[in-house]
Amino acid sequence: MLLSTHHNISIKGLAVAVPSGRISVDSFYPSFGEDIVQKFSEMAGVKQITRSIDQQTASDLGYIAAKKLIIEKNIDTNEIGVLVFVSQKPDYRSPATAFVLQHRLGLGKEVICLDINLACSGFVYGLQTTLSLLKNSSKKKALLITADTSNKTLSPEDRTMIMLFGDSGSAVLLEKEDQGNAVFQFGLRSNGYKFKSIITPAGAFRNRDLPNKVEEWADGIKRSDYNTHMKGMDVFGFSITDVPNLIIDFLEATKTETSHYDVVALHQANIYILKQISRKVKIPFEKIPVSIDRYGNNSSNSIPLLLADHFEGKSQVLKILISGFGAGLSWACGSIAMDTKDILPIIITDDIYTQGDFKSSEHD
Amino acid sequence: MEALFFEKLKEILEITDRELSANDKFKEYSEWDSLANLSVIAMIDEEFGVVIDNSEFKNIQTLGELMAEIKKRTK
Repeated sequence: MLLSTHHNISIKGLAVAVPSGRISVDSFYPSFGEDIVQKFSEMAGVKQITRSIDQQTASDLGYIAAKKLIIEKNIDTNEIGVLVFVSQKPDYRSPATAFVLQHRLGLGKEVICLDINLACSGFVYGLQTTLSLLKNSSKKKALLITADTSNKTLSPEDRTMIMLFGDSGSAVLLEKEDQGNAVFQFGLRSNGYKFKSIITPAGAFRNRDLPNKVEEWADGIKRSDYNTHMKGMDVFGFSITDVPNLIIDFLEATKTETSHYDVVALHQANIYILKQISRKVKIPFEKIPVSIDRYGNNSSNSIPLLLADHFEGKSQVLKILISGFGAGLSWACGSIAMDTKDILPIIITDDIYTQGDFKSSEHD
Repeated sequence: MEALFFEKLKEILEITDRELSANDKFKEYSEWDSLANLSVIAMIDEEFGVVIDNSEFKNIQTLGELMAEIKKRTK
């Protein structure tokens, strides 16, 4: 396990945005049959998912969250030295979406902007990266924006995924402290040997000759090579073995126990997986909040959404054990703290950035 | 072990109309699908503390082979 330790930093704000669209899993009865849908719902713990309209991008959701945070926390945007955007659904093939967000948020030019292409482990990796960049910079504040609209590359016939993923975005404000004893730590692992476990094969530069053609795959589900495919069994096995093992190793390395944490905020992959992690790491399930029932699996944004869903409107300093795991394969956990008074109420938005549409008049 | 294994399997697959046998090619059951596959892997993990890799699971055909694999790994 790679251990990463960060001193004198804090989370000063968290804002989350979700689209207004809600899809109940019951609405899939005509497509997949009541029996299959109910079995899925019971296993995954999903009753409803959030769904953005076609034109709304992940960055649209992240932008609204970040804008609200800047206004509510009265942030001088010139103090922001790092903007990291974590998503698997960028606005363009290039440039990185972080630049679009820099522009929309009106940040200064003395800022590092970059995207991270990570899914369900993305919040933990995003925090680790953003804090590392901030710590070694001359600026005081950083913005981490995690957002995803996983549905945009799913085959509507893929019953293993289409009822599972929700869309949302969020922004976290990180700040250097002159003094203090807060320590954030992260434990990180990657397994590129399993890069095909969750993959969108076409649409980039490796498989440029693949036709955008829907075919029946070996699992009997119709999808194209432009759709995201998940080898469910591989990912499931990974989630119930490698993830708890990492958390156990992390607790040992940091000389902490689950009882030292007020909350264990896990990526909302599937309720069954949460229960297995609870059992294997010996975390009382009451310490593991759940939002997958009403929001689905929100990729890199599961953890921020979970925190906002459960702790917004309260004021308490929480010591939180977080863990995210998914495509890569990539998995990570961390020990963080925050005052829940800094969590803003969840924003509902269908706003889109029409100026981002590229027009033929721009072919100059 | 066999009794517990069969009992749990019947519960997961919602089989009430027949008994299971070690020779059964379980992937040919009408009740078998991807969700059943997931549930069986999870049940084996929970009851026997063994996680069978999907690549190995693919090569297993009968319940007897599956039980042998579990026994091999719990040793």
